[in-house]
Amino acid sequence: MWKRNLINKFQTSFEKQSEFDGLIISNPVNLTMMTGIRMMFLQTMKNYCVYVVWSSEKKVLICPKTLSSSFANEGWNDNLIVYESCLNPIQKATDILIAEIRDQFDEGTNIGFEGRQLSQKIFSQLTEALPSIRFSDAADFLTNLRQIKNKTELNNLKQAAEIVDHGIAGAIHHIATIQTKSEKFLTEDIRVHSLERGLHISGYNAVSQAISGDKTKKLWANSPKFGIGNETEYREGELLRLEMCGMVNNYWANDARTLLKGKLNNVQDEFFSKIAELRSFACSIIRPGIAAIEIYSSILNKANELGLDMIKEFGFGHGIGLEPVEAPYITASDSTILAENMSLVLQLSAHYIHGEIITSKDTIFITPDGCEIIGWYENWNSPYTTAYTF
Amino acid sequence: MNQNVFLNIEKKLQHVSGYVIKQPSHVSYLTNVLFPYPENSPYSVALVAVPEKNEFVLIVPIDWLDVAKDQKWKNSIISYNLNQGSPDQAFCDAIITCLTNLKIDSENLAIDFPSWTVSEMKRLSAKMNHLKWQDCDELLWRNRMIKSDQEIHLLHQSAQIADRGMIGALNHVEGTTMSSYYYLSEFLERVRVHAIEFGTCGVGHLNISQGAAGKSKITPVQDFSFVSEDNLIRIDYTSQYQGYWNVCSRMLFVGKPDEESEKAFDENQSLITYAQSMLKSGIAIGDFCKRIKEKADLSGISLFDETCFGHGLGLSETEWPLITIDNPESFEKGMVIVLDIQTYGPKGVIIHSTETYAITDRGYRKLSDFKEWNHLYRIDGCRSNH
Repeated sequence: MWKRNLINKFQTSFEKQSEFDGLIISNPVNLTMMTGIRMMFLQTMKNYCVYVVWSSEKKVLICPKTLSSSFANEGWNDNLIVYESCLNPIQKATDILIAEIRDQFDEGTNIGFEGRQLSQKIFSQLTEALPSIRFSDAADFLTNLRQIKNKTELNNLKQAAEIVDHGIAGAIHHIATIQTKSEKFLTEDIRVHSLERGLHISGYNAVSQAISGDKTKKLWANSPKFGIGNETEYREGELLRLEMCGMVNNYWANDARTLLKGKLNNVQDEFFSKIAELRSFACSIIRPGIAAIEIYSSILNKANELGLDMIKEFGFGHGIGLEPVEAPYITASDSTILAENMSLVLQLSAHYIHGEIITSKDTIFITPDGCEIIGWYENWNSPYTTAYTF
Repeated sequence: MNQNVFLNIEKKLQHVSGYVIKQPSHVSYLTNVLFPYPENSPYSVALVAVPEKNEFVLIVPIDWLDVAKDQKWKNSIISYNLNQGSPDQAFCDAIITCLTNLKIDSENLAIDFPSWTVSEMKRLSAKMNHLKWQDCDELLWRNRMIKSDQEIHLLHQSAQIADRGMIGALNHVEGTTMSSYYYLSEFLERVRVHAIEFGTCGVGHLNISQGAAGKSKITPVQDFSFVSEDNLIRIDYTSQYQGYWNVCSRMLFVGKPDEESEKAFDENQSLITYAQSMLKSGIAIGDFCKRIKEKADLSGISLFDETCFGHGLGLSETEWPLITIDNPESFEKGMVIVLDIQTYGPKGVIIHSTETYAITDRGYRKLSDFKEWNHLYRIDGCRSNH
């Protein structure tokens, strides 16, 4: 049902808001929006090539024969053209795509493509083979479409945010001050506790981290093991950065919290009070009509006023939806005007006194009058402090 | 820095002044630096190289600066951040800055062309006069196709870890089939957890199917369905060790397998055995595939995929050679492949069991050798807790 809702959203937007007679989609994330099925391996396994050709009259999915039943079972009920596995699947699929466009569209037709994702090599083949077709970059249309969520999408994002936040909380309730646990164990616990609460299992970047001590000075500790952790055990008094990315119905949560093994000292208390104040400030200015760049500047000014050493190069947040990081970006370069029903991750990353990177990530929905934080399982204005023992 | 690669490929290019390589696995191959799930990220990386001047520059998003340094990248590095523009704009501008600083002649670049998007090429062309390039993508893939001994060693470890991950998960589920139930997602997560425990550096694709759902290749689990008796289960997953991937698919039966399932599994195994008997350097890949298909046809075994029986493995989950019926090239010593023969089982479910091999002078060396999977694995047993 939710899949059909998303496909309908796309159809309605395409008809009412786009200037295109047809669209070519090849990016795996955009394909998710149009087919309801997320195949993360399409981003890494180049022996599969999938296109959708979309127009008001006809929708065609071009895919390897081996994936056709997967698409059909997950909700694709329009036309399917399949090809056999072969030495050059991209060429094979592109040849079919060219033939389909030639068959379906008249001369002078305006067809949109994904300029930020489509390979120039393929695009050159399309323009050469189809000189009478006008190809236009649909990047802005697709970005706008994905930025503004409908109720179903917001519901998926809300579920994901709630589950992941609860998952982190569930995992850290197993830690006590006098009992130790390895980084790897807690990293796993965060994933498992999120799954227990209904997160949909997925691979690749659907990972967690639980980093402590000096390692928190880096965003990705333990290279080349990413999101795995090692045997480091947490020490009393240390701050732990906890992170989790995961999805529900193909919509992501991207959450970060802090745990302190022991009791907060005054310096820590003051630091986290400032982060909480900065979060409140950010939420007070995020509203429809304000530009992302303006939010960035205001947060940076407020952080300076509070004496926080922010990591401004990451910006202070980004959109979230079918990807854990997507447009708009709360940075010094993004002039996107926020609008109702956008979903963001407010990311406040600051250096603590020894250079540790403390990060807070909250999912935020833009409401008619402002914004609201989504999914807090508990009050995160202070870090979670462990019980002394079980 | 894997400089020999440039020596190998520059002979086949014409007067190249520098390289700009973007495909993440190409970049890792050349630099020995791995990045966190780069294909799933909005950020891009690149290597700008002028081998004859011994100049190599990594272009990375600022978030991954430490990642490169931690992996002993000793050459230059340029980071970009999103305050400078959108991900693709900031990335392209960093490349332009790098090419300008290195005074590289933009009329004689080599790039891995298929990796570059329309908007990236547009931005580069707009900001650089007379941008001209030769495509070195195929040359890089071809170079990567033949593995060094060290790479084969890593691929062997990767194959072993993948199977150990599978076994670790199975050992948890065994003994629970009638009492403390595991649900499918949890079972699959146990595979990831155990692969991690045995040393994997990352898990990619994850898929589990049970019973009739196994008719489709991809079966997202979005509920709390339990592992339940009298069902065939198929687990497909990919994992990597030091960047080198394994593709692991195993068939399991919950309870005592019925005759039909056993027969379907044995038929699949018979094709694997047959394929192994042909596997050696010099045999044409297309012929190899045709003979597997002929054998299946003669034996009355229905193939789910009649034209592809696997692919190469390395720093990508799928790389050359693709083992397809239209591939005119031959197996060569040093190739590492995953053999993946997919057949139909009861109720139309897909049956397959992958094996990883390194091609040698005299035949092959099996790298997925931690356990023999030549019988349908039976998950059974019951106790009050597990």
